[in-house]
Amino acid sequence: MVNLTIDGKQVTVSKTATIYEAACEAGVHIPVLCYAKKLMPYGACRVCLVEVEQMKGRLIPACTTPVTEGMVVTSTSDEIVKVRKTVLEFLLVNHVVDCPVCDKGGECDLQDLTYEYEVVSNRFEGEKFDLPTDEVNPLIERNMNRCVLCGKCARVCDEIVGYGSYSFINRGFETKIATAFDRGLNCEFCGQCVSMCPVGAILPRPFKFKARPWQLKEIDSVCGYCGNGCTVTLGTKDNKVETIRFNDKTGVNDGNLCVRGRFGYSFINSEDRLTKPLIRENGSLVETSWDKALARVADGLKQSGSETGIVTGARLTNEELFLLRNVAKALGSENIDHSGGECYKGLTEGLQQTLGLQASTATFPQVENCDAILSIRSDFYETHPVFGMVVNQAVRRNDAKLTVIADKRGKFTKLPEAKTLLHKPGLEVNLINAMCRVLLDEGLAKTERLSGVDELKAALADYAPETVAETTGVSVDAIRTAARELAAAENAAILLAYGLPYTAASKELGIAAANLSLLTGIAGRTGSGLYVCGEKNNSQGAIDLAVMPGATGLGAQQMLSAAAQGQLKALYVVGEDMVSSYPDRKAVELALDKVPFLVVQDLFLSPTAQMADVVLPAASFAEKDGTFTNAERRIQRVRAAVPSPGDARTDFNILSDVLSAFGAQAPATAAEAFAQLTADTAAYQGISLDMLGAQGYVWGTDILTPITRNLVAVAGSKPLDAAHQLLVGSALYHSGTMSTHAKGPMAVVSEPYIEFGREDAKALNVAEGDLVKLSADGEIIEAKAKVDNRLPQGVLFAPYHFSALGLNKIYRGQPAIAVQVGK
Amino acid sequence: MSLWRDIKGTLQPFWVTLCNMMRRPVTVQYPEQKQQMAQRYRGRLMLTRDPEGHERCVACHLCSAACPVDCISMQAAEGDDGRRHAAWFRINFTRCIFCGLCTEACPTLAIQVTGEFELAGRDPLKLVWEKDDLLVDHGGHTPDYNFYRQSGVGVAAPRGGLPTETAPVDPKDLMP
Repeated sequence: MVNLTIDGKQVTVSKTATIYEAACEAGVHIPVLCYAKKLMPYGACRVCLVEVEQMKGRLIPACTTPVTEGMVVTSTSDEIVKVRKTVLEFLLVNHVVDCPVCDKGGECDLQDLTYEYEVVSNRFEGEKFDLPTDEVNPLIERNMNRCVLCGKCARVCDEIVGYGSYSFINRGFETKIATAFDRGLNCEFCGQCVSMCPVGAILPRPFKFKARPWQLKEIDSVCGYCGNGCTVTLGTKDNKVETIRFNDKTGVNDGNLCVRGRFGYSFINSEDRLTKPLIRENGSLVETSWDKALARVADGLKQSGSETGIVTGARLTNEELFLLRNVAKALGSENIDHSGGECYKGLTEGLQQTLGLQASTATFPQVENCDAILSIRSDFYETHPVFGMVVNQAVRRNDAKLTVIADKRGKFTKLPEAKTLLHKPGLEVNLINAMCRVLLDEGLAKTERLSGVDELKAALADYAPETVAETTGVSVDAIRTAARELAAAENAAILLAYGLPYTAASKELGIAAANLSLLTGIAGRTGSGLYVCGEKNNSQGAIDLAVMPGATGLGAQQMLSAAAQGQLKALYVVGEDMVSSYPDRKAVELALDKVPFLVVQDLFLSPTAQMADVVLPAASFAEKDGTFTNAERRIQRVRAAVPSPGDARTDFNILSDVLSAFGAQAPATAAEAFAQLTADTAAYQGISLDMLGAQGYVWGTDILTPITRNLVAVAGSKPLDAAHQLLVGSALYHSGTMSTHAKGPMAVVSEPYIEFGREDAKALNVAEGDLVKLSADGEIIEAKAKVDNRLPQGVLFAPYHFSALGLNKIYRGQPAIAVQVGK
Repeated sequence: MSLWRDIKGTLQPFWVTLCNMMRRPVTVQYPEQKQQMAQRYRGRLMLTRDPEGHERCVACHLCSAACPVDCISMQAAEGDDGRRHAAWFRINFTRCIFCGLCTEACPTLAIQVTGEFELAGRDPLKLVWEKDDLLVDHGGHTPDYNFYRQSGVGVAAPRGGLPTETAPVDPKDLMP
């Protein structure tokens, strides 16, 4: 620690702090334009100049100068004010000062500083630029005439996002921020640059001219898309969510968001939302009142009783999931499940058998300090983009060694020095087994306290790196190096995402990853962690609250087959579009067709809802209070920001009504439900709503120690023998099927596509935008082709979000689908 | 002494009356006769146009932010040519206190005061004026100012010195 004096105030800070950070600590205000807490010091704007006694009275930038012992800093003097004013005059020489028509007006750093330092005239003359604005893309508008060249956009895109869209081009007065070849922006559209820009040079286009900042009401909530659990601060006006505001003080995401979080809010205000309950009369769905709809639901479910199946998506709040479980109890049914029932088994069965846990063992921020990171599947960035940004920071700032076990290239494989074990589809387990074998063979495994070592050794006989290299197509050295790096690292992380498109071998993959984490000692070690992350915002909450089949209950897949055979009397589907997203659409449709009574509770009239007997309009995450548990076990508060459209009600209210229809006692408020569920859930014992502070509350502390340390042998699979294999997965711009109702993500990826590698495209004579047909098992799907260099030869990819594609007609949960390509 | 005071008190009012009888009257027979208001009188508000005939208002919300009684509301929108303008603009004259702060705040000199003061009526809702009611077809007391020609054209003082620039307008100046 270092002691210094700023404006007469004594302050003690760490020796790595800068003068600016020390001043913040001391409560001394120093103006800044180019500084951002999460970025490296840069010193571009020179607004933060201060005087340091020991430096011969020379003015130095506070944001880039590290503190030294005994420093005496003056933050404000007549000379400093004069110099800052001059700096602002310089900045204003080129700035267009079109504040009245600029959406930043009212929260612009340059405007605030100009006002603070009373810059009313300018002694310097210069040219005003008349650069064309970049309005090519629908999400981010760039007007470089307003730019002050702080470089924050270029830095955040490089340091945090790892995309590198922007750079300074030209020199001297002509310097400006531009994309490659100065073309229109075409990137991930995460909008980090938007959130960083201190002026109005980069603005969110969906928010253009919508409101002034002072008119917006800000409500901190949690994003309703992926399991990352980013804080989104909803800016609302007139009961409408108008924008997402920058907020780096709350939550785990440091103000970082992805395209879905920042631009995917418009489904909340969508015109297509259900506003009235629907009931099937004479074969068609007609609007009805809540009383009638609920009476019908109560009647139907009472009749079916214990032969009711309840399936939910993992998008509900913990409180709602708790009520849903109570509904199942009230019905005497143990048939309750979520997210297709299969994809989460890596966590609930895989990690349970090995580590005795059903959750990730550490928290996201720790990953930034890891020395080695193993990502199983490159899609991890697509499913959890903001966590992916943490990985990028680890790689770029701390030289972490990143290894990606991937069947296709992606964002992760492009990170600096990232090693990609590019394997044939569906062979992840083989590779992990080979890595375990390397650890055991070379004596790198930390086998003390582990049970099942010998069994594992025996089972891994077939997984010598050489053999696995041959089957998977990965080099032996790469497998060995990956294993060695992971074992040698002081802090290491293993990342694995699960979700509906990753149903295949989910349990085996969970076990394999857990084996590796045990052999390397990653599980439970401080600073390291095994992260098994759910695709949906409350996947972890659903597992914590045991929204899973009971001992004699049926899982989602069994419920569907039971329904198809006429053995299930009713199905209650809450917040899930089974027809669009569950594997094997035909089977799902058959089941929903056969089941005598189907209730669907959703935001939209999804293909599943269209088959229902009763459709209940529910509320989005922005309309309800409650809690979500993210993929690192962080329980965070969700707050209602806007009222629900029409007669739509929150799932909480609907479930309460259903419960009372059965004469069961329902908690009156979400807070009451939270108190009940914490008392009821072992891991949540003793947690109260007050404990969920700005950063939420991580149950089981930051590091979750494994309860058991069993190694369990799992068999890998054999490569699929087919000339063309289709992979199913997530696209970065979408999450589940919900984002297909949001304008932002739809503006970037508006329709389903089938992705080809360049070699395949050339061989098959397929060009970007061509309509291609894929046939498998007598079913044909058709979509436009997308060509790029992510995929190895013979491998195709299609995202699962779009119902129209009917991908699940051929996707039945296989790791890869053998397809014939036609036009 | 009180007698002298009483006499003075009796005569003086007659004298005042006599003097004023000879003067020209200051009152007018309103409403038959209407008075010409002073140049800087703050009456009803209007929305002016720039020399090209476009609406000056860019819906920056500064007038509504400056308004002490919250009588101005609007919604900004993007025009076909990308210009920011008011989709709708509303002044509630039942709330307006005619302080003129909005005109001081307006960066485009769009909102200006008129000499008009006759705003009485039976239906208060008729005093909520929409953009069409407020828009006039002239530039008010700054006929030459054009925000889109001034904006960003030169901040270096004195403004308007460059050959391509027009002379600056003093937004504080209320003289016609």
